[in-house]
Amino acid sequence: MAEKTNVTLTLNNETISFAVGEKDRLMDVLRANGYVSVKHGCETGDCGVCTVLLDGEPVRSCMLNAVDVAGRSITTLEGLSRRGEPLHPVQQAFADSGAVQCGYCTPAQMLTAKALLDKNPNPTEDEIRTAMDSVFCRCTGYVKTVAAIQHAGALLRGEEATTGEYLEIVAPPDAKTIDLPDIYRRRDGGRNPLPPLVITPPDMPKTNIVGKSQKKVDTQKLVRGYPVFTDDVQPDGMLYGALLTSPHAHAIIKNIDTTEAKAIPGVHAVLTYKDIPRVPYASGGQSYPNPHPYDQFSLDYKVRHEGDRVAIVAAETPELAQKALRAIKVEYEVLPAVLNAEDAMKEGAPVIHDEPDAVGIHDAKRNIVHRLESGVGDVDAAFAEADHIFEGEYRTQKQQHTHLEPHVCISYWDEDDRLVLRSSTQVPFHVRRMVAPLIGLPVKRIRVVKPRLGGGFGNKQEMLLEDLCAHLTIATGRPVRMEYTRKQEFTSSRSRHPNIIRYKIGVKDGKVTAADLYLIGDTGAYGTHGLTVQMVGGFKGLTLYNAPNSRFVSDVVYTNTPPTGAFRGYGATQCQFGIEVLMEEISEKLGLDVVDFKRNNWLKLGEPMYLARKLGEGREGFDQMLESSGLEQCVNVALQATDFYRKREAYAKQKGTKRKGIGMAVQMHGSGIAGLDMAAATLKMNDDGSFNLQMGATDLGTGSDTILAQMAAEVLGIPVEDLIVYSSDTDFTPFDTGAYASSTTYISGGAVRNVAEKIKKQIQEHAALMLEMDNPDALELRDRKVIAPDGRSVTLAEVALSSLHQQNQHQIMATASHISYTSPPPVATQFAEVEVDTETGEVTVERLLMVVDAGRIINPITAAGQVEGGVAQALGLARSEEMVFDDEGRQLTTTWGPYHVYSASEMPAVDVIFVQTNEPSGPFGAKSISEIAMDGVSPSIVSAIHNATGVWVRQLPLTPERVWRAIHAAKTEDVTMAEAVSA
Amino acid sequence: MRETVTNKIYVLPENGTSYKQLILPADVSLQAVYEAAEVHPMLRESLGTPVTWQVRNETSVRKAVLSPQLAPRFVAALLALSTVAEFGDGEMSLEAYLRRTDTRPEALIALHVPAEVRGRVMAESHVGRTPADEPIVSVRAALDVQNDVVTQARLAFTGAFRESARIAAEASKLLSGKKLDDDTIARVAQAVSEEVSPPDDFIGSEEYRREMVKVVTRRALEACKKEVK
Ligand code: FES
Ligand code: FES
Repeated sequence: MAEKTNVTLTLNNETISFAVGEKDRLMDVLRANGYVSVKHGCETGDCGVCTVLLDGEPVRSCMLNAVDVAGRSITTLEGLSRRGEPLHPVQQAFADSGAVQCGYCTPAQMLTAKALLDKNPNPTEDEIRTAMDSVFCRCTGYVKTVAAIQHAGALLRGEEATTGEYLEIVAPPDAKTIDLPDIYRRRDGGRNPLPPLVITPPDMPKTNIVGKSQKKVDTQKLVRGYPVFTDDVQPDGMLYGALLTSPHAHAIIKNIDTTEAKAIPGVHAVLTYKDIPRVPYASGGQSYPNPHPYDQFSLDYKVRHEGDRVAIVAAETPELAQKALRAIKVEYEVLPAVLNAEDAMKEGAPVIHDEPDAVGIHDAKRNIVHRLESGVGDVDAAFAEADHIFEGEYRTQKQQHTHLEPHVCISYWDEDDRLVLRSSTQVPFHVRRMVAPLIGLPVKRIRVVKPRLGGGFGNKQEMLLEDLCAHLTIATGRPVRMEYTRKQEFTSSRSRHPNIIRYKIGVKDGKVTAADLYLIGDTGAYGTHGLTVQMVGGFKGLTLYNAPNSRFVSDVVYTNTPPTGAFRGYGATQCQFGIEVLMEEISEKLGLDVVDFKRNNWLKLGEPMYLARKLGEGREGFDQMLESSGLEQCVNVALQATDFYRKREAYAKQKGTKRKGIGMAVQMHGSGIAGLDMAAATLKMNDDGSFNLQMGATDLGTGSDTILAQMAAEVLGIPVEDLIVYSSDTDFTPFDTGAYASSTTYISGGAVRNVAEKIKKQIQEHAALMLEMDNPDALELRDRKVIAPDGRSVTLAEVALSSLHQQNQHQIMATASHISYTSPPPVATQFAEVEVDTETGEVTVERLLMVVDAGRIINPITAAGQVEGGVAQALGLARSEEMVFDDEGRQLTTTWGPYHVYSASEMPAVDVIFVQTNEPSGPFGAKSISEIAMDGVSPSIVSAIHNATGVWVRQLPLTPERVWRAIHAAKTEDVTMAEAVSA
Repeated sequence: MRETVTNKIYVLPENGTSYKQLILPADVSLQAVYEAAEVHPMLRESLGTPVTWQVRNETSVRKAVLSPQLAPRFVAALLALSTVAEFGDGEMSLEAYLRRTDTRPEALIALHVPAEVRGRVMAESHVGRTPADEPIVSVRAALDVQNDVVTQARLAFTGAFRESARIAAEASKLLSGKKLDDDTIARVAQAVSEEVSPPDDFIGSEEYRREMVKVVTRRALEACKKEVK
């Protein structure tokens, strides 16, 4: 046992002593003693979510040893306001401004903000951004963070101030110009946060709670730093699990010896492939039956990428677990590795999946997991008749989600000998079903609890730790916790598919009449989402311009790199990057205005989506038609807000080395998976007229708990605070496929609307009994009351008490589900303004404006937060984020340093305008919002770079060197158009 | 046991100069340097993003010097400003101190940043993936100019040598005794690109870094030239 020293310090203004080891990190000591607002996000000091104040100054508690702060004063978020006390102004401001999404970074952000405001009561926007560089946030894009700190400053200075607002203007969809408030034109070139602007058609039905900036239902617990995340609550007797991963990209485990590891006192289990059943499965959390291939085994005798699973251990302490990992002796036979999809398909390439028991691989010898061929119309004939044919190839890279909360799971046996998995998952119901065969338990003996999630963005749509954690609990009988390190997030979790995107487009009379897309998708070492990502990419990438003659061919290919999976955008981001750049290249070649050319061709209201039936998601889809679209208005508004044509013309004539550029792109996404995604919700009335709203939907920080509560509140005529929202737990909430495919607002929202309507009916019936009326439908629910046409009323509390205790006693309660056979696309336009340094290739993005039609906006502040955060991730994809490997397949980007995500001080102005439409199939007219923000940033920046320099860059990320080389090549030989586009 | 990071900086008054001699005790925090009013803007700027507030609070001057990868632009700025290292056995230029292989961390007592020489011009230039990323290459130039002639020049780079921060000694010497005209600037930029030995990685290839070294050197020297005028 390591020696402990007693350390006395002032913690949140109280003198306190801890017994600590010499090397105990302050972060661990604080968390172990209940100060769980202090979060853990990395092992390298990059993320800042562990920030505490040391004598009033922000420091990273993971980088300090507890012994070194003896006698000093530490402040954690728990010290800002105690339970029952009013919030500190900084907490209040974060809550009111919509700055809290998943909330994982929020304690550190608020402490840093407090330290800043203590020093500098009236900081400039730049000073705020620079201070916030020290705490990463992957959800918000920092827009509302800056607004919150500005607001906190005003509150602390005693000024009158408001925050968390939006502007709304009413304008018909066909208005030629809109009376746009001047701030949205950004004439000052600044980037001060703007409130989202909502443009509403005059005939939009009126609502009371839906469409308003309701504060998030979970904000209080997040700004107070309560223990809400998976790792914040740990069962007694818990063991620490750890995962041994492969140092090689491709190898056979010839021998694995665990004797020494098992002999270490305090080590309770060491498991390898020899110890657990060999069951093939797919880790992607998808609906039954999971799409092929089933090419994974919980532990295997072969490793196929650096970071692949080798062995697991459970021990009394994290240190012992690590010691046990080091004591496992593994003898590898290292095999040649193949690291890119084109090489992997070649004759003679190393075969990655040569195991005989994998199921559903198309051509294992050539590493091809799936070969997809689909199409409509007569493509060859349409090409033969076209006036022009253009071809272009575009490439996108492997991007990591880098949610701040790592994957973490705690498993334990409950009092009924059922296995509980408390896990940071986006898909609790899928995990329950998928883990059962791997651990040999029936579904009924498994419960999956999803606490608060610290971000996911698709990466937690995979079952990554749950099976391992469960195996360790089964082996030891003890609770076990497993958490990925940040390095493992990069090497062992999932990422965005790198794609090679080859389009061939036929144009006749200015119309796109034929389209051919060949897509190579690099799925990494396992197939998980390989099929569905490419199908979605093909569908969206061919439907945006919806040529009646379209062909889609795709090879999904294994490589010895970490598996790819679901990531916000899900293939559509990659393919729309390709098609958007190509459409602009074509317009340039044909001498057409890019906006006119796109407008002439984009998917229009009332048009069938030709490929909808052929390209479902992993299976055949359903015929669909575009029933709402504000794209025309979105583009018109963006043209106005950016002064596009004037700038475009002026910028094209620039000389010199620093050149401005403006670019645009349009995009579409979907709202859930048609005919597949299903959600359910339960409402139960309580004695005081409040309701429990129980949903299988998982809020990853997106605000879905809040908007779904708004929908229920709208139907029931109550304020949102009368709903106790709970999501999600496979024992206590009804089924939901999970938070992915932009399904929550649309599909889960449909379920909530349905159940609220059912409850409304039950309430009307009971109130009619109380009021002795025979026409319940005439009763109106408003202001917590049921009101009769003659003015008599009963309160909901009276209805509850009566139904539970007095008349016709019964529980007012219902469950309803929802499925949709259409997936209405939100549509949007993204405009980008940049400055390019032609000598260095540096691109400074100055403004990103997204104008989006997501149907009815249920909550403008949370919806804007979704766009801002998505745009920030998309900016990283466009400019810097790339997982890079050496020749042996070892990743060079396993920390946030080399893998650069945008920080607060370098974010451009990010502006959001909503053009509302009333989608007939959506709850209250809503469509989805969360993914579409990923799709337009890269092509709009490429468009802007071209405006500035005249060159096309067709590969992401747009690094200085890549842009510099493109400019250089264009100077030396005129390859601007000839290289990839041939007429 | 970690060292304690303190917050005292000593400024020695010297008449007739804009920036006085500065003594940075080795255990002073980078945040104290960043906040000190007397610190030259080039030093302060070199401690900005991507060196964060938290890192500045936790990192002493000693640590920054001994682990230059923590704040490479800061070390480059110190080098450009002819900083002297005071240690147990005496004093030597920081440049020489960084080259020593027998450096004992606790031996470093303080850094002496000399007072600004009349006629000194300084400039910075860099190329980065994004505005707040650690630059791919950067230069900090400090030139002493008398009667339009450079009497001493120090060009300190990051991203251009195997070391995190280093002076391009040969190219710097080329400037001495020269007028800062376009021809000299071009020749020095070329000389720097030949002197450097940049890394070759995914953030910037060797070829790209060499080219960029030329660009940033030229830009920094052109900025200095403007100042001289
Ligand atoms: S910086 Fe401390 S956990 Fe990441
Ligand atoms: S709200 Fe900042 S990381 Fe999620």
